[in-house]
Amino acid sequence: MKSTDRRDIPYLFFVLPAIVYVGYFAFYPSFSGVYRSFLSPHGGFTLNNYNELLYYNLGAAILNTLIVSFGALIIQLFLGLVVASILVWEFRGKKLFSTVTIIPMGIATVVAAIAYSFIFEPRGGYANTLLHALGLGGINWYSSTPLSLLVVMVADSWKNTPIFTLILLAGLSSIPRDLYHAAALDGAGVFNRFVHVTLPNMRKFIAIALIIRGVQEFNIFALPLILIGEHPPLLTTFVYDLYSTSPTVYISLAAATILLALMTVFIALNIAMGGRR
Amino acid sequence: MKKNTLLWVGVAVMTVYFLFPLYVLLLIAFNPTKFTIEALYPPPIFKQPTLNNFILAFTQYNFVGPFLRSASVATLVGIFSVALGIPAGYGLGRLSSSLAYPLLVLILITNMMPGIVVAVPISTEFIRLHLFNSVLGLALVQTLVTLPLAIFIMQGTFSSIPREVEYQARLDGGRFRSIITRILVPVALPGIIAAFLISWMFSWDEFTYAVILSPIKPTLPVEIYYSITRGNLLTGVAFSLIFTIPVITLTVALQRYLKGEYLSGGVVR
Amino acid sequence: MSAVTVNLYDDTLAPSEISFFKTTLIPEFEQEYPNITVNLVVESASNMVQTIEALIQGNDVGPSLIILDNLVIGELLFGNYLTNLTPYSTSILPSTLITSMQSLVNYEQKAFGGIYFVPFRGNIPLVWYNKTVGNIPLVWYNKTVFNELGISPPSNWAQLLQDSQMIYQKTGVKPVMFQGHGGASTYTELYQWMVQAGGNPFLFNDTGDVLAMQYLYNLSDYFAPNYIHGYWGNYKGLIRGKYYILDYQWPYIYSTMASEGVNVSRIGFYPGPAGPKNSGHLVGGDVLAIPRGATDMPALLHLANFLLSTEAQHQLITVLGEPAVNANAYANLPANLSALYTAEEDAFQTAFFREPVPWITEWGTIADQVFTQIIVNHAQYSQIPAILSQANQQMYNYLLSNYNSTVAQQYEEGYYTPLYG
Repeated sequence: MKSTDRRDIPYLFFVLPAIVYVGYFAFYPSFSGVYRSFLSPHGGFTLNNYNELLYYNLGAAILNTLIVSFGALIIQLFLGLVVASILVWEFRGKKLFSTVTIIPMGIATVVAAIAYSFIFEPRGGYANTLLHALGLGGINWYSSTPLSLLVVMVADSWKNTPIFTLILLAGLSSIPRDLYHAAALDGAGVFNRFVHVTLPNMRKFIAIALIIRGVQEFNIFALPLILIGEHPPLLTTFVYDLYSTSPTVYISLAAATILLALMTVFIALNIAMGGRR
Repeated sequence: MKKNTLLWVGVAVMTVYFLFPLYVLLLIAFNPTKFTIEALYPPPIFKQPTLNNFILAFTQYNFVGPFLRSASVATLVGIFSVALGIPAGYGLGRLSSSLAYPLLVLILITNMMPGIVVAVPISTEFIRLHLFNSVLGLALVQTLVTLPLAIFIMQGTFSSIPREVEYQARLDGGRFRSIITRILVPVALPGIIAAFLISWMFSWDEFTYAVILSPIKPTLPVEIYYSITRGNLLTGVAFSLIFTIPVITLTVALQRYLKGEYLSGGVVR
Repeated sequence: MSAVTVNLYDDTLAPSEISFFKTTLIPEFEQEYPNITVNLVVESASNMVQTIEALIQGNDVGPSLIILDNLVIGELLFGNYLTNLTPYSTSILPSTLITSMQSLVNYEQKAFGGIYFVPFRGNIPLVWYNKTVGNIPLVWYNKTVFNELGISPPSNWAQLLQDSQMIYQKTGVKPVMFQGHGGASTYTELYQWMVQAGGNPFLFNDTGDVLAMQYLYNLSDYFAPNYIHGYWGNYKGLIRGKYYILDYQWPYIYSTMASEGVNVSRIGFYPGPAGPKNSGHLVGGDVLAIPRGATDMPALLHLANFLLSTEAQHQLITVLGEPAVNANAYANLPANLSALYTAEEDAFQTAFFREPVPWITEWGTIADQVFTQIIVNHAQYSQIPAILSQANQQMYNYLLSNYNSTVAQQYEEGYYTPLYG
């Protein structure tokens, strides 16, 4: 059905300002940045900027970004499902609980990062207090890369579980109760009902949530900057570090281009897999 | 019943999970320092709470400047988002889906661009345009973050107004402009207000663009970050709490609009 | 002279410093010169460079005076963005400039063929240690114990290592805080350590450099765990007893701590342990310069002269706790500060400067990487020379592709060395 109605044209004009704005402020700088990453300070084409990145351990930055992104997504998906499953039911105090579950959305990322930096400290801190109270020793939460990344994942998941919750809730609410009744009549237990009724119908919602949050995960910046600084590096803090200390901004643009490339791959994969709309 | 206990356990655990970091902030803000930053294992309860930390923070450090700056930027961002979002949302709501869909994807992709990829080139451009470190410049760029959600909210709002209403009004002899002002806008007003407030809220929280494009006269999140890196932890925490109050209030008030349908870009309907 | 508003750019001042400038120092100047208003613009060093370059390219400089870190000025210098100050040097420079600062100015004449910037605030980082630690839960270490352990501030590297070991064994606390966060504070520290071992830090892999990194590797066993977050602002841990020795921190923190009500008598400071080869001290701080194309020279010269005068410089010391470059400013200091400045003056005797080459931040970024590999990621001890050689290669390649083979060759031959005052 290839209908571009003539009636559509005036409506296109309405959308135009937004498109122009987005073009100038998002696409133009990005393309300009990518272009300049291939330039040398003297103006010629060069791959040097990328070469330099290898010395600065670009590989580690990429790996860490992937680990954090996927790890955080898994945590958020799980927690989001848990909370959404709770919110499907009616119970006393539900309104209050539902408000509590979106509070992290109302807390600025910077503030959340600060709170978590007091919870997870190299020596002491609130997490270690709890461990101590349980008779265990304290942990230096930043003593190794995996631990540091875990801290980032936990803090990030806290802040972003509400978004998963909301999307998944929309999904759960849209599943007709009859399907569950039918399945129960067929003898399916709670777990089976979940796997065979809930999950298939949620597929579209889970996919959407994963794409939206996934892309934003590659983007997290304030949180890792405050919690782990630049050791271990994530692509975003890596770009920022190079931007604020290098005399030539080209190297940081090269790193930014790599980040953009990674995201594009992720988006493309998702569109290919999640496909039919 | 087993299901009930499971439910209540879930509620309890998740409540603690969601409230704990906020609780920690309150502890650090109100407990005297010897029970917080000076203690190796800080006690997780209130002990001799005091207002001293707040007093120190607000008298010694500049809160009002960054606060006002954040507020001005956020207000501008709200205005820009609504100004661009209303026509875009209306247009998208009325376009046939074969055209609307790719445009929506385009806007969604914009939302996905890493802030840092955009901010670095923009900062050099802005220096040239004298927009670096300015409220206007920052507001223009932050709108990138808020615009997609504003558009989706507006699109959702306008979609729910049947076209027939417009046709009827036109048949009744109304001109286009008066249709907009007298029919569409009042009906869409709740959505417009929501879009404005949510954009305001996102801008208030925004950090990435703020730290790169307005580093010298910072907005509040950036100021809080500077406090922490300079070692003024208490100041950072005190500012954070005050900073959080408007946002939490708005979040709770706007719960209705923070629905899954809008957050997923209207694709889920 | 008609009314002029001068833009005074200063890099990264803390709030207390900004307020001092705005409420005291600038009004003093404006009273003396009623026709001149001063507009203070505070920017980070790298941002200031971008701003100045943009202004010059846009022909929009106006009456502007800049106060910029003595390293970062190299970028503006080599990009030809500064006015040659030689014709004005007598009207700006006080006759009582500290000797080592005077040497810097003389060096400029020789190396750059003219004076392009003048020292404004000299800064030599000192070592800070906690003399007495009391009333801090869980970490109990006081002067009596200190004396019992027979520890006084370590006077050389070997002793520093020994003392750290001993403190750790006796108290279970890793006592040394290092600027480990990365960025300017880390590579500034590294520079000094390498010089004290007799190395040329730019090269990364000469004998002195390797020695320094090997030593720091061993010392890092006693770094407080929080050192990876250590940055210039992190002096508070010293007061709270989270660590006991803060290796190298600028003296301004003394006043900052005092203004926050800390009992500063518990804090001790001294120029630091002598290195195996020398006890050279790195001079940091800011310089004054005038961007090329600036207008209203007379007003700018008045302001520069004022900022370097005894009165203004004296206040830099007493109010901001920053070392002055004007020797007369050190007369009549209040008792508690004079100890601080004796230490600084001591250190100034063996001062050296980092050569303000335009690629120094590139060097710094590589130095950071070296620090991360060797210390933070705790590479194998035997790999230290190899890592440093790789860094040398990286710097060489950078110079080759971004400058030319002459510069790269000169670099490799050690042409760019620390400047001794």
